[in-house]
Amino acid sequence: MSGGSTWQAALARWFPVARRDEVIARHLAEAMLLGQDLVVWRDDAGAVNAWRNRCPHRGVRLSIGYNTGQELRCQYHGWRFASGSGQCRLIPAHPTQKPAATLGAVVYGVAEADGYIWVRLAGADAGPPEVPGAAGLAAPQPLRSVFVEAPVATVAAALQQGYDLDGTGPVAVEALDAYTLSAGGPGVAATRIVFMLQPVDAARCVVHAALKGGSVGLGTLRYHNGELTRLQRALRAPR
Amino acid sequence: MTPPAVEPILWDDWHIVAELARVQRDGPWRTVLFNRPVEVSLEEATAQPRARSGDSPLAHVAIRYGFIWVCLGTPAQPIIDFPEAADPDRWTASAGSVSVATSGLRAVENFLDLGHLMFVHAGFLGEEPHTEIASYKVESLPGGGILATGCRVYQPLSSPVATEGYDVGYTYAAVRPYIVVLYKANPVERTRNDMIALFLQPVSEESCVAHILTSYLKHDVDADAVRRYQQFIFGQDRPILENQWPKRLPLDPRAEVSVRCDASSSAYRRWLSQSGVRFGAIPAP
Repeated sequence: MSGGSTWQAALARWFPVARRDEVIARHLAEAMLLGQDLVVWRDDAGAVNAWRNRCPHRGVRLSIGYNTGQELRCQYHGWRFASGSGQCRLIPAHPTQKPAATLGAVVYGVAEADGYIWVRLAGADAGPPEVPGAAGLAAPQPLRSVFVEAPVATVAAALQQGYDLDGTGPVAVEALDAYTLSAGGPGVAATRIVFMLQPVDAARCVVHAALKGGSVGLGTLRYHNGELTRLQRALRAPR
Repeated sequence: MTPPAVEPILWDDWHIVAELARVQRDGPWRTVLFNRPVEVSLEEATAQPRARSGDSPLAHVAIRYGFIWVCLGTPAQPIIDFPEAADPDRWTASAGSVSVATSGLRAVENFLDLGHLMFVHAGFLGEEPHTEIASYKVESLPGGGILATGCRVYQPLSSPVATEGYDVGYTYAAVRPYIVVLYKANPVERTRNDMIALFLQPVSEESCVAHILTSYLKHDVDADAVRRYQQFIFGQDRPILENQWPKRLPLDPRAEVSVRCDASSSAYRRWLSQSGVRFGAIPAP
């Protein structure tokens, strides 16, 4: 993960950084991707923003500020940054002065698909990402995302030991790529689970898991929450 | 392992390491200065202060303004003098010591900052829509440091004795890299100033203890009320300071965007850079 070329390649990849339902109106969510601190927020028209979580003025985390619905207002000096462009619209200390066109928050590529907010730190756009999985299954239904104190490679290896989809015993987990794994399917069970690993930094990650096919009731949510929590505990760094 | 050497401008200066009242109450006080352990205590018979770092006694320890000060090197100058402290018209008292997880230089800069008052201290030291910051004058102090004069801010409740909002005149002085003082018009006697000094104890490059000294004219106020007010205000600054990144103060003018109202901050950073201050800073390349 810390190797230069792998890291460079990861910067150009889309990763889920939050579930849609975590990024709600007038709220500022925090996320971290590949060591980059992010503020993720939705404007009143429904558009989502993913920015570097720093005010360009004095380095304060923008996520402790305020979502006005159209702009993000920094908590320190009230500077306002527009949804979409990140451009600074107002410096209250000099209210009649138009902020320089170059002054703004650092804006990253962001997309909303399949129940997740996806971010890409570098590179130009190319098609919306989607949760992979067997064709013909219903839309993915997000489970609880869990934070794991272990690098992506360690978590991927642990998942490949097998995953118990429904309490009847572990089934094989297949790695689709370095960050995406999947198990189950029509041949094994009525559902398929997809694990998407969000590299927080070189030592930590978030596991976003979604079910495809079948219906997700409270019992199913509770069951997978237990399984994912077990994974989280097993990989926890020693204290 | 010995921590790296600290530049003389900081090493050969006096720094507060404890509030006297706390040591009187709790006995020997262990703290950290420039990544080095420091222990201060009071001699039982004489109440004279003693200090050591590890096994080595420190030659330079003193009590002043209700705080215990030490110098780890050889003092290049005496402890800073505040004539206000001797004025019988005033309460001159410590308003407490607060640890903050950021560089002390960031804390000095926040203290010099006018533009945050109406947001971070809304309803007390500022208020929307009175956000505009008029130009003020910044000059160098003859003995080093910077002086900002002619600062004016509308304050709804400028001090514990204020009863109405008005335009308050401010003077700021960053007198040492880790010491900053402000003078602001007293709400009752508007031609005279109250004084607040902030002494930052550099614990590490990314953590400090803010020691606050206040010297208020004795109009309908006691030392406890002043202390409560200042602790309340500082409690509003602390979460901002702890959410700033990087924690060390960047001295390269290109590292962060500055605007006209940041004149004192820019001058402070320039002075630190010219004086060769590195501890708690990210030096300009």
